[in-house]
Amino acid sequence: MLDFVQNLIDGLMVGSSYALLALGFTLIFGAMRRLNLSYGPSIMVGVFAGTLVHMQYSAGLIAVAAATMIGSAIATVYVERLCFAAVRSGAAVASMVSSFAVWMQIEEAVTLAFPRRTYAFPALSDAPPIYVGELFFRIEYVVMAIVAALVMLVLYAILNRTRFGLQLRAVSQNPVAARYSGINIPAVTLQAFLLAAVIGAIAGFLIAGTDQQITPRFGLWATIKGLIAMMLGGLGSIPGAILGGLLLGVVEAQSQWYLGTEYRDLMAYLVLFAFLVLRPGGLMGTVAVTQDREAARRL
Amino acid sequence: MASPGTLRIEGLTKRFQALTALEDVDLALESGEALGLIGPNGSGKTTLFNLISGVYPPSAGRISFNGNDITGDPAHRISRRSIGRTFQNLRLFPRMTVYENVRAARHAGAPALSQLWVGRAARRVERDAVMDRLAEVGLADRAEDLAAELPLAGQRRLELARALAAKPTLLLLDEPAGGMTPAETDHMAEIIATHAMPGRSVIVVEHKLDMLSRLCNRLCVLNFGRKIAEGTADAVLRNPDVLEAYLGTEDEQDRHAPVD
Amino acid sequence: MDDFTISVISNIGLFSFVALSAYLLLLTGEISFGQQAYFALGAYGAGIATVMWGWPLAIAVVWAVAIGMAAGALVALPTVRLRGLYYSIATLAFAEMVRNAFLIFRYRREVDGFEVGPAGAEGFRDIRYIYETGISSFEYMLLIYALLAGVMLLFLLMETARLGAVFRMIGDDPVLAEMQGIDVTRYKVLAAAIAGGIAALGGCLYAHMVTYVEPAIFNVMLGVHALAYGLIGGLGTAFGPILGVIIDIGVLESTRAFSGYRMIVFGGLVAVILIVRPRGLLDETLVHRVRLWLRPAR
Repeated sequence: MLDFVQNLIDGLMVGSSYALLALGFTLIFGAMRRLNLSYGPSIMVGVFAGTLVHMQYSAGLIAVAAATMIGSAIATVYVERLCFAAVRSGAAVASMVSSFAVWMQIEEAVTLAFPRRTYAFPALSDAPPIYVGELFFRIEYVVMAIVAALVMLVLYAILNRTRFGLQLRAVSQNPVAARYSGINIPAVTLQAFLLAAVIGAIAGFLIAGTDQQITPRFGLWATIKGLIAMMLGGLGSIPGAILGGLLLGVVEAQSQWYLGTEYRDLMAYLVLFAFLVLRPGGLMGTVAVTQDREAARRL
Repeated sequence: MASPGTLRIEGLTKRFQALTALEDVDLALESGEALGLIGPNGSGKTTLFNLISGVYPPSAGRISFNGNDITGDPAHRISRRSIGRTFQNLRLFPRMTVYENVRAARHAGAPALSQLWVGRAARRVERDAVMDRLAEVGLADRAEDLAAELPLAGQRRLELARALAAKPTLLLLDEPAGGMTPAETDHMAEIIATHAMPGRSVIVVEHKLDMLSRLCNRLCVLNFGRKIAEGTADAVLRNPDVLEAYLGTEDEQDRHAPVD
Repeated sequence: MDDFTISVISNIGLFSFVALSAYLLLLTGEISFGQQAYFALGAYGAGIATVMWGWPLAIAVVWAVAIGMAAGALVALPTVRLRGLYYSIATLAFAEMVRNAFLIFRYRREVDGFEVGPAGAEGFRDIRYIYETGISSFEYMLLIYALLAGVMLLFLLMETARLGAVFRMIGDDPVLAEMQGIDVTRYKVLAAAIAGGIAALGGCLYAHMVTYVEPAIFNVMLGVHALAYGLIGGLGTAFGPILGVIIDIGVLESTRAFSGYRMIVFGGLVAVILIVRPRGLLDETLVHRVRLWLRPAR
């Protein structure tokens, strides 16, 4: 029982970073109804920018975090311009495949710039774990969970209290109506991509700071985790993305402990597959499914 | 067995979450009869077509066709029972040719693997049938064009040709002259009268009442998902409920709002 | 022909199978991120058959296709009703399940004094059938292309007959296809089975050419590449995906013109192609024009 609770806590804390990745995917998907496979790789660019600042100038955590955000924002703008803004409307698959091609580009460019593949990343904290009774909390995980929670609060405020948030929600719920009411959709879309880039960069910073290292494969890893978490929660739902991330973290932690490391990913995919088949809307399904009126509208 | 093209609808209701699109509608159509269906936008006309053709199952009520209960059957099975339709907002296979679009209607009911090979004789029969349908709607010379290259009126006629190619005994036409000029509308009405109506039952949804009264001997009026009147064209159009339903919504129709 | 040329041409052939597999599903309007799973099942299944059970390659090929078709149909049954991204992610989840399962899967036994068979993450070594039977790499290349020609014949037959039109109708507008009397669910399962069989055939041939397979080969990258090939080459004809493979492997990889930054060139090329032609180089409109030009009066 103690093990289970410990895994649950660890899983929730790690899951909070998955939730951030899922939120980024959801923002982009909400704005475009398209999937940006290059989301993880863009974050990876940011994390490498952070590493660079760390190595060259032995900068502090704040500067590294800033570099991470700037790096992933620049990469994201490149992806958005090339794969989304430039590709015709109605060609969602082309956008997705194009974002994959650009992913290949980014990964190779980073590998050329950082030929050693594995690089050190500054630790979030090197304090020893805190013990509460028989449970222990890794400080990095605690920082991760707290920062993630703060980011979610800020995102909530942005979406519900600002003009941009209102416009983004309008675009994601009904692009046609949004355009007729004078919303500049390309601008809102670009801003959504940038917001997603910043959120993703924070997640990337937290994860790399916990692992204390980074490789170009981080792009693949982040895309996959974010996608799974988003789909578990329910496509297009903000609360769903958060719940999906947490669920993914818990499933991984529990199966790693009870079944072994080699079963960790297998179980995560099994849960995902089961969710998709048995409850295609995900955890917060009904919201997403009713929003996805594509089929109904074509009739 | 009832004679072909007989439709019986009893207590048909369709709810989408909070919205009731169609409520307790009864309708009967005899073999070879032509019925006009009118009503303001959002009154449930297309919903009724979607229920008959099996796009989604009804929330309550029964539909029977030729004496067989078809309530809740999947669309492909209903189509094979020889119910054909066209769509208010045009549905074609845009990347296929005009010819292929009409041929598409002839796949019905063939077993899955028999489609891999079509013999020469069968191909000729098929070709003649498809070209006959295209000739009827005046598109024979455009057979090799992509469907997307046709003008709107041509696309509507192509839809009609496709529906006819499946040899339906019941044909559902959803605004066959929608968006057409008066001349195109006349042409369409003539095509329907000479090629679509003989030998089959037809339900036509149309806002153009003169076209409707030319084609149909009976009208049925829906408003807010309920049937508010039914009878001969003259009687229906003098019905006070109908006038009330239409007044004040007249200008909305011109905007072609994609509701319903 | 030198060994390098043979290996490049053989690779083009092998990856064409996965590309065609993903292409067939694209025709029916489904984006699968998971065709590498059937490639893996074919590779492992056929490898086990020739190495451990001593079957001849010809039977192993049939066996691999059967595995691929069965798995494709089985996965399709619960997933066909999923739309769009849900389907894509479900196929991804399945493929990753297969890959992770092969990371755990051990099936070892002694054959001729050596222990052989899949050994989890260490992979599956010594799939040496073609070397033991003295088939040269040139002859094997011909075998790959003979089988690829068979698959292409199937596609061309499909396009001239009705089945291809049915698949394209489903891809364009499944509801409208359903209204033409087509049992969309059944055809989608059929397409998934055929696609699974084609990918497994490629996997079987791949395993016997390289003699060593490991789960890491069959990751998402392979699946998304397969998808991209069809979309670059074009969705108008089955030559499209093959053109995509040729552009990537044949031109960029083999000429070594851009060694070191090949992916940067390839990625940019794909992005530009998709801006100009969202349905690929050989898209339906172009294929239609070519067809009219070849056959002016029908």
